[in-house]
This record gives sequence, structure tokens and C-alpha cells, in this order.
Amino acid sequence: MDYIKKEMGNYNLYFIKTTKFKTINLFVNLKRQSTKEDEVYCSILRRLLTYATDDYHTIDELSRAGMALYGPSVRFTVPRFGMDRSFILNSSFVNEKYTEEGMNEKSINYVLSHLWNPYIVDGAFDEEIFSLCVHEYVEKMRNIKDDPEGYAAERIWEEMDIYPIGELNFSECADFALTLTKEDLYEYYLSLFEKDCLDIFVTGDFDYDEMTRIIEENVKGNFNPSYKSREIKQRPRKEKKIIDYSDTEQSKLSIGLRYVDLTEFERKYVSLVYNSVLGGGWNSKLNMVVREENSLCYYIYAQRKIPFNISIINSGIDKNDVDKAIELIRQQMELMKIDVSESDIQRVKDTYNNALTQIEDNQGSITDNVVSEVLADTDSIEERRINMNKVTCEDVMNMASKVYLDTIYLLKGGE
Amino acid sequence: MEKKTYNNLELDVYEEVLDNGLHMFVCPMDRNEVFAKITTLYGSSILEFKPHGKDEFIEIPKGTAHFLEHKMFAKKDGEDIMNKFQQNGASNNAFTSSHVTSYYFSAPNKFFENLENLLHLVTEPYYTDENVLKEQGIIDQEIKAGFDDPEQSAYYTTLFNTFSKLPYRYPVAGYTNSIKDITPEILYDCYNTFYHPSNMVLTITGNVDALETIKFVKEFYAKLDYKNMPQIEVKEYDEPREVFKEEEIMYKDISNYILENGYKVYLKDIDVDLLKVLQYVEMYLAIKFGSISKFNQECFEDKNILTPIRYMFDNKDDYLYIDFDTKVIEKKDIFERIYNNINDKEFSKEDFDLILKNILRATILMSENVGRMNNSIDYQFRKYGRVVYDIYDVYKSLNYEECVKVINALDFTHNTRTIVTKK
Repeated sequence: MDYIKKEMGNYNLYFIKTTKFKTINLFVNLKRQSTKEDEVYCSILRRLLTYATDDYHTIDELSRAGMALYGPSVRFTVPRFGMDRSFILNSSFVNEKYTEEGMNEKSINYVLSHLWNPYIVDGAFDEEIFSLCVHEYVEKMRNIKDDPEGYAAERIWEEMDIYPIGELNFSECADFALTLTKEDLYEYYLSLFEKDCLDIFVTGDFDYDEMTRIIEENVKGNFNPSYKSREIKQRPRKEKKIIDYSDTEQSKLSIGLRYVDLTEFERKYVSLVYNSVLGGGWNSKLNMVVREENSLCYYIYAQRKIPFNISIINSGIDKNDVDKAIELIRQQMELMKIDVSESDIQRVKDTYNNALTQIEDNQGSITDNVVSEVLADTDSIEERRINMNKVTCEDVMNMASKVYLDTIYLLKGGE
Repeated sequence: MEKKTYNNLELDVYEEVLDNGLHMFVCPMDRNEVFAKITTLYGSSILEFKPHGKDEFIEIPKGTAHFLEHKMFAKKDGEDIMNKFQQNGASNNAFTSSHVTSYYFSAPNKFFENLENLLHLVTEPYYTDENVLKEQGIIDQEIKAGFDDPEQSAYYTTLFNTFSKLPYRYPVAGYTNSIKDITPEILYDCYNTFYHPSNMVLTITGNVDALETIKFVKEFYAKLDYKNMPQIEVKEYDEPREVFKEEEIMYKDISNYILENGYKVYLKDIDVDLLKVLQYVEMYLAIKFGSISKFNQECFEDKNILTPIRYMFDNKDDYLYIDFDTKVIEKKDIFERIYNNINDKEFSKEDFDLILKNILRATILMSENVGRMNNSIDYQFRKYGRVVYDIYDVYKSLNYEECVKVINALDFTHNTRTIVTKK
């Protein structure tokens, strides 16, 4: 996918030209090395920034202003990628070619004002909005078990000790949030523009010079363009089994796998094939054996989290069938070392190639693709096609011996 | 074949009705992907009907339509259709709702192979005692997963207590007990009655040649004998305007309260086109409960309310079902606040115009995505008996005065409340 990179001093601006869509996509990425407390700061901050700006102090006023501009979307996310913490603002709005002249600038000003022009009172965030956001976050952390499936999916991360710096558990997150003041959060907010690396991506049909001017007028800060991302390396360790109890009909099973000492090629391509053959899609080994042959579950799948060099298998199983299911999963992992067929991997390659072709059909995917190439060192689409086609059955079976079952987490129901 | 054009969306749709009664809509779009979906007008809410070739009504177990959806993937020679899609690198799936069952795929290549698989999927049933028994274990786990989700449980309880007779009150997947009564004979009765092409719609959007596609589908069906169209007779119910039960308390392993509030609104008293009525209701709810509303702002400022009060609505036969849900620390007066707000029918033209502006924007953007466009064509045909090619103009003609009239004519008093609390 072609794009233009503009170095703007201490941040980078990327323009991706496409005339296929009636919208413009704006993606702002701030990132730096993660700390234990980032999850708390960022989760509260991302809520707070969507509730008010300096121009509009309430949600209804802010929302009305947005609707008057044909409703640009404003969405903050705060994912972790390896050692990085990202703070992302993502927006899509209608190109002024389909509405009214001047709407592009107004829409961008509106969207970016959420990040660069928040509602500040006496050198800190507004007390009422701040305290509502903290309350909302604390209650969410305290009640996380109300969603058993989501809880099990989160607990496996905790038990796998993924982050070398460690992380706060749900209760520690809530406790830490309660110690924060509106001044603390504002200080953290200001640090985004001092310590983070900033990249901005704009996708659509627009005039480059005009867009550069609009972005420049909105973006303020002394960013750190030299920041380099790092993946998290894994080491094998003794297998761990954790059982929690829940008053549910079904037990929720999560199994964490570590990828150890993968080569670059394995990390980017072979692991994707490995994960898909094992637990991705209908005819994955796990689905065929655990669901189709043994009728033990409705869903079972493996998710690969490559910046962390791990995969997580999730399923919902009757409490009486859990041991059998775990045994079947172990067997299939062993089979991955000796029995991966050409048709297994061809299916994955075809699906992967189709997904690459379909990137062009969605403006958000076009942006994500360039973001991934620029920030996560992903190869170009053409290189990806070529490299994926090089993956052999032997590659996958060899990689299988670098995959370690690390943690079995069971939220046991039906007790 | 007839070529139609969507006003203001720069899209053509080719319509065809095959000799066997199948309705086809093909909408070429400037994308790499093709999205194809075949839908039978048979969902979980049909529980009593006259099977094709039989004289008596039968009652089938709750969850049969969904079970049938699962079992359509089983084929006599052991052929794995899912695998065939995946070997082509296509994404495919199926779903059942209270109104329909749909099967679909999307892929940027091998279109005719995938289309043949899709048609093959819905034209060759194969049900045995063995494969039905096997599926019961899988669906049993699907139902239990839903039951474990307190929000989903609250939703289904509310729906159950809203309707007295209409089978919308039952979960789409049925119950662990009801699916045990499903047999191959029941599945064949349902299949033979509802999976006839005359009861189905095929919608294709994306990178396709309409003429070739229609020719291909005609040739596919020419090999099959579908002359004998079933006369579908489904039991009708005399549903009262009141809700079945006004309040229910459920106990789950949760920390706070989940509140679910279902409103049952009779639509037949209104002399305005259904499409407009539904759109006016959507606008009214956005004005009264959406992000621009004072109600939403007050809820945000209320620390007792842990998640924003969300709403959704659906048209079910002669009724509108509006559902509100939220999570709170104490249940307090939330239901009363919703009731007062929905029944305070004052709203400004300024708010109406603001929402309308954004509906027009969303309509223009509908044509950006092959999946969304496909769903829109399929939905409009099922709902209104025609694809609404002038949808943009219809929306543009919506006006404040008519909206006020429609909203004032609707009775928002019949509602049921579900309270989920800790044991």
C-alpha cells in the first residue's frame, strides 16, 4: 500500500491516498514503554477525554457539536503491544465532497480537540468528570467477574506473568485508581506530549498541503520520535494450573502457550500458520476434535498475540468434560509436531491471501495495514504474500517444538 | 430480470425471480470482495405450522430453526461444506434470528465455486439420529454459555415476560430440555416446508457480474425439482397488548444489579407507512435517550449508574419491542426514570433535524461496505416486501410534524422489568 511520509519535526505524518471511499480516516498513535500503572491512567483518561472538551463541557453539548458536523466518530483505545503502551485516537468522518465545503477542517478540529484541547479547570481536569471516570473504572475492576467469559480471558494473562515489569491485578488497579487525583491524571496526560512518540495517519481523498496545515495547527507537543518498540521474549517455565470457582452452568477454560526463541520468519509467518492449524477457524485441529468429534463444546479457538510471543486457547466446557478436553488439547499440540498436512497449511495461506486482498475494501483496514507496516515492522502486502507462501509443513512442525503449554486456567462452573 | 437504481447511492441492483420462486438481488460494487447470503424466511419464532404435504398443524420444539441451521452443514457423503469454503480461503457462517435463518460467505475470488457451495449447503439436507444426537451436545454448551451471561439471561427473561403468546418470547437456541426432543423427522418437516426457494432470498453484493451470476443460479436450480411450491401455513396468535408479566427478579453470581426494561408497543393503530414509523421511533429514541439527550447526561452524572442505559428496538409482528438495559449499584428509580422519559413526548425540531442529518449521512455511507449493503437489501425486502430504492428520498421526506403525530399515537405504557441481583 503506497503512502507518503512527512517528517514534522518531532512527529511523523502519513498520508494514504484512496478515492474509493466517501470518508476520511484519521488515526493518531502515541506510544512509549509501558509501566505497571499505565493501564489505570490510560483507561481513565480515555474515558475522560470523550466526555468533554474545552469548548463543550457536557456529553450532550459535545455530541450535538459532532452531529452538526455529520457525526465524526471519536474512539480512544489503549492497547499494549509487547513492551509498548499505545494511546490511540481513531476517527472516521464524511469527506466534505459529500457534505459541505470546509467540513474536513471542522471535523478534524473537532476530533483532535478531544486530545489536544480537553476541559481543564485550574490546572487540572474537571473534578466532577474526573471523579465519575474513576468511579466507573473502579466499579468495572471490582465487578469484572460478572462476565465469566471475559474474566477467564483476563485472568489467564495475569497468571501467565506476561510482562517483565509485572502488572497490577484487578483489585490493585482499583486501589491505585482511588489514590489518583485530578492533578495526577492531568500530569500523566501532559506527559503524553513530552515522552511519547507520535505518528498520525490520514487515509482518503484530500489535498495534502491543506491536510498538513490543518494537522499542524492542531498538534502541539515535544514528542520523542526516537522511541523504538520492543517485543516481549518468552522463556519456558514449569506448567501452572489455576482453578477458580463460579456459579455458572459452564466452565470456562483458558490455556496459555508460550512461543520460545522463534526466528523472525517463524514469528511473522510460521506462528500464524501454527496457530490457525491448531485453533483458527472451523477445520482447525481443536475444533474438529474437541467440538466436532467429541461434542464437548460450542466454541474452541486459539488467539495468537505475536507482540507477546504467546497464544491463548479459549473454550466453554461442561465441568465433567474439562479433563478430557485438556487431554485432547495436549494431544493436538503434540500432533502439531508430527502431523501437519499440505492441505492444512494451504487453507491458511488462501485465507491469509484473501484477507490481504480485502484490505483495500475497507478504509479502516487500509489505515491499520500502513500503521502496522510503519509501527510494528510488518512487511509490505506483497512481501507478506511471498513469505507466507514459503511456509512449509516442516516449518510448522519444527516451530511446534518451540511452543510450551504454560498455564491452564479454569473458571469452574456447575459447582 | 429488472435493473433498479438506488437514488443518491450510485448503485444498481439487478432483481430476478426464478421459476421456482427464489428472489435474487445482485448489486455490483467497486470492491474486491463478494458477499453472498441466502436467507430463508424461517426463524425461531415459527413453532406451529402445517408441514409441506400434511394436513395437520404440528408443534415443534423450541430452538428447532437454530438446530436446523447447524445441521444444514451435515451432508450425506460426509462432505464438509465448511471445509470447502475454507479451502477456498472464504469466510463463511450462518445465523438464526427470530425471523430468519441466513447462510453466507465473503471472499475476493473463486466466486462461482463458493456460490455453488452456498446453494448446495441449503439444498441438500441430511439428518440422522446419530448426527442429531451429536449436535445436541454442542448446542447444549451454546445454550449454557448464554445462560451464564447475566446480561443475555436478563434479555431473554424480559422478552419472555413481554409476550404472552407470540413465540418471540423464547430464546432463539431454545432450551437444553427442548432441543432433546428434536428428531430427524421434525427437521425434515421444517426443511421441506421452509427451505423451498420460493421462501428464500439470495442477495449478492460486491465484485460480481450480475448477468452471469443470475445465469449461474438459474442453471444450478434447473437441475433440481422445485416445481411443487409449499403453501406455508403458520399458526397465528392473538397477542394481548399488555405484557405477560410486569416484573421478575433473577439471581446470579454478580456484584451489582442488572436492570432490563422491555416495552411493548402496538403499531397497528397508526396510519403511516411502517418504514417511516420505524424510522420515527428510532429518531425519537435517539433524541430522548441518545448521546444528545439530557437523560443521557443525567445518567452519566449519576454514580449509581455503572453502564450507560442502552436501548435497542425491533419490530415483531404488530408490535414494537423496545429494550433498555443498564448495570447499577442500587436499583432505585431507574425504571421510573425510563418510563417518565419515554412518555414525556416533548422534543424539539432542532433535535429532530440534527438526528435526521446524521441518518442521511449514514444512508450515504451504507454503500461503502458490501456486507452492510447486502444486509440492507435483504432486510428491506423481507421487512417491506420490496427493496426501497428511494430510501434516501424517503428519509429526506421525514418531517417533524409527522414524527410528533406518530409518537403521540404510540402507547409507551406497557412494560416489563427484570432485575438481576446477587444470590
